[in-house]
Amino acid sequence: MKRYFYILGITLLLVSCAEENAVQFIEYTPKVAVEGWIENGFPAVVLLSRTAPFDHPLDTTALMKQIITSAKVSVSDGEQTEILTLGVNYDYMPPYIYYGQTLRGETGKTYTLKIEYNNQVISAETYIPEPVPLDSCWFVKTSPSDTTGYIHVRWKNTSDAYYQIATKVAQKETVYTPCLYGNFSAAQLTVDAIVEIQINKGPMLFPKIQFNTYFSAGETVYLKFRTQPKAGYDFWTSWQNEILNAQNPIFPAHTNLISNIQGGTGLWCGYGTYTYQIETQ
Amino acid sequence: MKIKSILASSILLFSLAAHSAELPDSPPDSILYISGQEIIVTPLQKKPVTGLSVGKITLDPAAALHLPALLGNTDLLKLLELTPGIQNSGDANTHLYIRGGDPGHHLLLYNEIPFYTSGHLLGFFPLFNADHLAVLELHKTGVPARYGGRLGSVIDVRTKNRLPEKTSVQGNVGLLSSQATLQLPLNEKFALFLSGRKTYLNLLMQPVLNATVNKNAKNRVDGLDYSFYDVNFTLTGDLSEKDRVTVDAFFGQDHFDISEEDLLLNGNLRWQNYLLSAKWDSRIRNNPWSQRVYVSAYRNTLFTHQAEMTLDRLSELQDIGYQNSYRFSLWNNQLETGLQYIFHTLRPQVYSIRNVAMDYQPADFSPEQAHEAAVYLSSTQNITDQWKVDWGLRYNGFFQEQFMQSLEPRLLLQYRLNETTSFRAAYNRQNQYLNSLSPSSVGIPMDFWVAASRQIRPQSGNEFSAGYFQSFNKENFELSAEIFYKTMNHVNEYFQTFAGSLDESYEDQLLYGSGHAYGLELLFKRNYGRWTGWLSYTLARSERTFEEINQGKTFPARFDRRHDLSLVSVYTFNPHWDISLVYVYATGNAYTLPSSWYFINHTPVKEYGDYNSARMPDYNRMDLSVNYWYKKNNGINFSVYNVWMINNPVYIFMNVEHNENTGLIQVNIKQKKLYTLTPSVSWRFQF
Repeated sequence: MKRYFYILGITLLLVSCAEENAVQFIEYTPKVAVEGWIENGFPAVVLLSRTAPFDHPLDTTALMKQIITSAKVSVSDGEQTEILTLGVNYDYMPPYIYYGQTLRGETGKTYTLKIEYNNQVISAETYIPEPVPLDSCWFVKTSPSDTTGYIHVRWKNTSDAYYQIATKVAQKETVYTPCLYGNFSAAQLTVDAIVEIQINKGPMLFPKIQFNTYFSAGETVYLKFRTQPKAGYDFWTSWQNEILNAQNPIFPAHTNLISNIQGGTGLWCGYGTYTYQIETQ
Repeated sequence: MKIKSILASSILLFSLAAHSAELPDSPPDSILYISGQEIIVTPLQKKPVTGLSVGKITLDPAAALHLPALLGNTDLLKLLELTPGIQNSGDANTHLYIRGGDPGHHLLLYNEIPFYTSGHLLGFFPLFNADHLAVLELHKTGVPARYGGRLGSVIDVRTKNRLPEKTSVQGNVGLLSSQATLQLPLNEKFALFLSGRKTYLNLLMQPVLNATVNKNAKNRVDGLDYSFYDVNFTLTGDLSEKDRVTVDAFFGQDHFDISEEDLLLNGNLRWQNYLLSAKWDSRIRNNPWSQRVYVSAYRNTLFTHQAEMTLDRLSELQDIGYQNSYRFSLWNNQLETGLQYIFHTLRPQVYSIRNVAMDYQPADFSPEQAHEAAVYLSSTQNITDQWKVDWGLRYNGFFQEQFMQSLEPRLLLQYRLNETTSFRAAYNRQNQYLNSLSPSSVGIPMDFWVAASRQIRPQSGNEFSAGYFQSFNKENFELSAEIFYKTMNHVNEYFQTFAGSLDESYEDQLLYGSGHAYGLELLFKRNYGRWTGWLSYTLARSERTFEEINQGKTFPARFDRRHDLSLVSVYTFNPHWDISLVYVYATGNAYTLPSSWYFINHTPVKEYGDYNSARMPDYNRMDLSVNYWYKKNNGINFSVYNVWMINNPVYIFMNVEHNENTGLIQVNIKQKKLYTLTPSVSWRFQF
């Protein structure tokens, strides 16, 4: 009888010593992350960085070390090739940006990106689809006394476009942010029909978390209505899923963004763009 | 005297039998019966366990009531997880993982009728009301030819159908749910069994969460509202000496609300099962012959609202089926043959999506219809006193858009060296035409079923196993060791995203590959005495290979468990008091973890490592239970789940966050867990 209690005691003791295991990080292999685009009428823009490890926090100095400033970046349309030059722009993160100057985007043309860095060659290809203009866009408040509201847009849908709507609030935001569910295919809508939708401001996580979907009255909002290749549509859809659903227990996100970069990750994308300015009065 | 002792102390009894016993239609009085070939759990005991012989493992009927159970609810399926080869599924998971297979690979039957369910949320509640059940069988090795349609094991739950001598009511009153079962003899030949269960989780759950999980703000579980109820009905009776009819019905419904303010997410989920069957048992030339018609259905609806997007999803499946069987003897062979037919009607995913003013073009969601039929022949023959062979042949035909067929040989060879030692070897070939897909990787019950077609490939597999069984000291101690190896073709991995539901069908989000699993299963147990119990250990590996995942490299399946150990021990002080202990250790689940991060559009995003390349922390848990029986079948149960308050996370995620005060960009790791120490008290009654 007594020995059974010894056994029970030892068993309890052994298990009581079991500690909660910490999460073990998996092996970190840095990749070159690319965020590059070329719009109709504008030169190419490319941001380069190395992916950062997960196992320790980064201060500003450490973060800067992840930025790639010594790469040779070139863009070609098949006829001309331009080597991009490095500049500083604190509106963006990372703040070092490779700019084009002479080679400007033309609708229907294909553009190849080539990055030579640290004995690696990273490449990608895109094209600029035909842009689609909006018929109109306007700001709507639920009631006249409201201080917030939504922007509505209307256009004629085409048969094969992949749309993206992005906005930037003047004086408050430095980059255009894709709208919430503002990345969609023409096939999801009625072909050749006049489409009207309410757009929802996209989420921002840096430098401050901002999940409001509405715009404030009295702002100047710049709106880009873009068409993009399928690769852009896939990338931005996965980007939004990553931001919104990383913690979603029903539809969890645990896959990489759908990249078109050979030898790295990220996106090189051509956009057919119309830009609009809206006063939210 | 020994039998009396067993009954009085409700100890666990196991034995090993050289050959598998065929279950009679009226189940035996034994309560848990385990062999290398099949496992049977019965919830109640009326007679002592007898005929303990080598190769058959039997658990005393009352034993299940004496084991620790989460919140006092006896869960027969969770009890199976404490035996070799059935992997521990962790907390909050309602799936069953057997010998490295996927959850959809095992066939769940309710009175031999396919039963489709996602289980009950959070793992709090047993799938079935144990008081309504007579027996639960698990066929793990040497699956008989009468079972088909799945790649893995078969679990058959049988309801009570033995005529009761008198009217009785039994049940359980717990903190979060209650249940009651009425046994009513209508006359000398007919009887009715009626059971009901209902939860009142919301009354007490939130205070429990607030006192445990929610103390840590990072792991808070809020906005959680869950309830379910189910009803079982059985009417059985003898029309004549040869003829018996049985009518069964089941209906269950779950409702779950969730809101996550951080994600701008709220939604609700409902899932329902219903089942109705009529069975006629008769005899032709004094040989048992039975036939049954039934309908079995499952329906799952989800409403989700995230930010400005609203998504409604419906998934449903209905089976209308007929099956018969005939058993006879020929040339010293025990033979069984039968015909089975199922008409499936499926709507795997019906979506309705609204984004304020935007209308999405509806896809074609018309129901799919499929026909599944099978004929089989199986034989059991004692070749000599020592050798016995069971063989079977099953032919399957399946039609949806195109005709598919398969032939499945089954073989079980047994050798009995002496009264205490036996060996066994088995081979199964199995095919699966109805596949289960699960969008949630964290156990939210959203499973749906799809039928094989031109786009959806059927699955097939082979399993080999061999075992050794030994008893000692007049069967007081028993030891078994079994190895298995199985191959699986066209297994799937399903990746569904919230936004991806807009323009991709489930076929687009489905990947196909192959899998294999192998392992060693060990069991040692003590049958008699005040102190009884068993130790179960499984060393196993389950892997998958998909061309599109991890560059075609082989990766571990999500519930690949290298080590899975269970200790069950019961000590009986006297007829009034007993105490029991369960300890579980299991290797953590495989999952996908980010390896690095980078900025895109001013936003940190994660770069994930190889699929399933990371491991959750090992699973550790000990439960204790004390019973006080003030009279037979009436008592109070005190249980403590997870005595040592070990944090076993349900899932882990990482976010990159910018600390505006320090300027640091840091990784935030969150481990979501539901419960650690969970005490409970419940009252068990019968009158």
